[in-house]
Amino acid sequence: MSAEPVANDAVTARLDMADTIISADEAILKLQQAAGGDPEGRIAVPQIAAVARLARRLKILIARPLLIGGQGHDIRLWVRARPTESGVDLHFSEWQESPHVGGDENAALRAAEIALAPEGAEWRTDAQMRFVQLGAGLGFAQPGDEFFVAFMENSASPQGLATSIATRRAFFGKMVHQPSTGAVFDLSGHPLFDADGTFLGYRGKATVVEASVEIPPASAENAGEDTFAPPNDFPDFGRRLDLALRRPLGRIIANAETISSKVEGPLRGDYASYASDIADAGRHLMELVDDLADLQAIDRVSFTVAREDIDLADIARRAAGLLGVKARDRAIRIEAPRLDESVPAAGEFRRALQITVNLLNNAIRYSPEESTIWLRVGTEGETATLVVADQGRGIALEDQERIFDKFERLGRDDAGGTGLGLYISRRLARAMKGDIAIDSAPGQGARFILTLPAKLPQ
Amino acid sequence: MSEPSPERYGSPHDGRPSLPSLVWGARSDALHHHMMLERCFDGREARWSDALIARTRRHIGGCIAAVEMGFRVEMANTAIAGLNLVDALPQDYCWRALQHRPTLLSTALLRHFRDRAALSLMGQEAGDVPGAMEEIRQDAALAPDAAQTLSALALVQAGWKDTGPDHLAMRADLPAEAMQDLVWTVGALVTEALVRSDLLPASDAVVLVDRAGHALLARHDEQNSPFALAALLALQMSGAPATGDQLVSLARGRHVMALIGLMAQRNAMDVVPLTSAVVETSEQMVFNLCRAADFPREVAVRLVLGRRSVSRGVEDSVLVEYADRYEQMAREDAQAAVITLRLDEIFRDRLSALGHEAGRHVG
Repeated sequence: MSAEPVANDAVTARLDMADTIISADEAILKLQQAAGGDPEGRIAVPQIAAVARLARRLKILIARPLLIGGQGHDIRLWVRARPTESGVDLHFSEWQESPHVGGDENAALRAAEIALAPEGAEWRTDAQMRFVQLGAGLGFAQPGDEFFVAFMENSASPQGLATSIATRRAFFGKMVHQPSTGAVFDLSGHPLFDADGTFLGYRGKATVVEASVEIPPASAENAGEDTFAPPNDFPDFGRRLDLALRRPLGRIIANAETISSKVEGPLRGDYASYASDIADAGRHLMELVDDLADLQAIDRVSFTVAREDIDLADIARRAAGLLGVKARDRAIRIEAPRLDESVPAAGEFRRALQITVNLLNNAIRYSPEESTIWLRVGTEGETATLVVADQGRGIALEDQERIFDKFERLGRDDAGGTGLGLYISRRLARAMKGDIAIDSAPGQGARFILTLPAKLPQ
Repeated sequence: MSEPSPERYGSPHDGRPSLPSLVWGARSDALHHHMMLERCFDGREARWSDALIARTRRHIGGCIAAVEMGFRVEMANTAIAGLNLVDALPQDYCWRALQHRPTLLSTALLRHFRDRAALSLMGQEAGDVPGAMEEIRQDAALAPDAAQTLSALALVQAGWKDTGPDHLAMRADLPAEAMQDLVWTVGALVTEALVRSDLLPASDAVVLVDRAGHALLARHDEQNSPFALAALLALQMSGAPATGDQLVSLARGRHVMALIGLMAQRNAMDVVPLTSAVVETSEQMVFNLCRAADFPREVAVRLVLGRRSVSRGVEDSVLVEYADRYEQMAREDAQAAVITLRLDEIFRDRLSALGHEAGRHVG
């Protein structure tokens, strides 16, 4: 959404009582076009529409700064919106355009890619979390609509969507539902900032989990095949798993959390404790569903990973950021690479982050309270390494290979963990021409070493 | 025009239950009790200063008087009958009536007046306005339009320091939402006075006041409000971000609104809620806000010291410790610490309500 710079020349527009453009200068029409609006239709730039509506509602002149986020540029301007008998007269000045964060554009793009699911409709919001762009399949909302009205979070997410957005953090794979259609979406997003560090909004992707699609019952002829055929013959297996399990699990977890937090009223302590156990078990099952969906994907013959330029130090810092709260809950300190450290490597950013998060999550789970976890990165020859080292009880030599087997939990029977994370992580690392190794001994903590091909200087 | 007798319009107590006044007790209603409690113990370490209370009353009274005057002029212009009625109304009726029924002031409006009063106290010791404006003009580092806005801001801020009697009109330069609230609050009081006069049917009085109120709102330009001017100044200065020296110069000149405008822009917040935050929050949080905005230490210290005229806070020794730690604080940490202030006000209120609710359950 970029318009020609107009410096301090006055730009005007006139809207009628229904926010339809009666007249507008070219710069405003360009903004309107970039926002997907018709030159003679309702104003589609949400920030302008909001000011016009406020002026009309209060019947008073509004003079405010606006920040309009666009694809490559952001525009700061001053607007005076004067209500009239026939609508609103708008007068814009102090027009300033600035490109999005400069410098390493690839890094910015990659950062945004964290949030992007492999498929799905792209969306973008402004700083007030109102939609400015909605891709195909998101027709239930319009530019200008509130993000949190369009999407409601399933409270199964361990870290709330609202919390992530309030703290301007990226979020991945949040299961949300759309109240008006009942559809369930897998939502990912990444915050955008301008060169001053000013928050501009979020950009991300929404993947429809087709909640309204009914799973056809197995017919007499193919029932046996369905039962015994290998998973690779079921490209929709993961999706069907989602349909069958995610929503009911989400409800179980949400209800159990509601009961255990006693928000509906006082409750006997032991009942609250049972509800808490149910919520924990539900979250564990949800993790298992996630892992099984991943497992089904990576066991597919056609499974491939992208080869991108990535920075293992950056990935380590992001993983530390994502799990920082969880670690702090157990008084565990994470020592991430310094901001000036950089270890270029080749691999798929999203998958490398997934592996690192899994390794760090394990380290947090099995480390004693008030201990430290170190994330160290480096390059040895043509190999880039990321080490996750903890002060846990360590892993015996004879168990060190077994731990990468499917469903292997080394006899641990605690509620956390599915026994699939390390299997999936190693498969992903190997798909990126790397590996995961362990260096550990009982009582001496564990060091999980992710290796990937180093990105050598050209 | 004959001078109206007090009996004809009644006292502002009229309309209350017709119990004999001796059974009312002295200020025994819950509201006054709550106000006294709030005044004496607001549940935090900080406590509003007497100066703030006095200044808040001055701003409320002054703005109400200005709007009442606006109503009188509009009604005189819009109806012949109105002319007689308007002149017949007692002077300062709205301010006197409001003092007897303070609940007519909405929470948001009262908060706005408190913030205005606080800002005026924080900028209290600024030098003389003409001198300051000349200084601004000579500041070559500021672009001409920014210097002009800063001059306007200094002028308006000087007007806020008016310490005349409470009922003396002062410029009602409120943001749009607050102005609408104020106009219709005063409008209701004016309507009441007109209806009590028995010279006009209630339906006619309502129409007359409604028309006058809309005319007042149509004439209001919120760009004259220091909140808007501060945001405009920040926008004008964003092309060439303010240097540390410029910020220090603004702080030494007590251009509090200008600093808050820049702080709002750098912290991606709106000026109005940020002002409330600066007035209400802890001194440590004000330091955090300054650090998050990358303000020099001297600016932060001056802002915090200025705020001590508004509310009593931590001991001086603690303040010195905060100031000493200021430069060691990473900007990222400060930004993380002020994140909650960016949340929507309604969201924060609800979270706060839930917090109280949870506390009640625990209790």
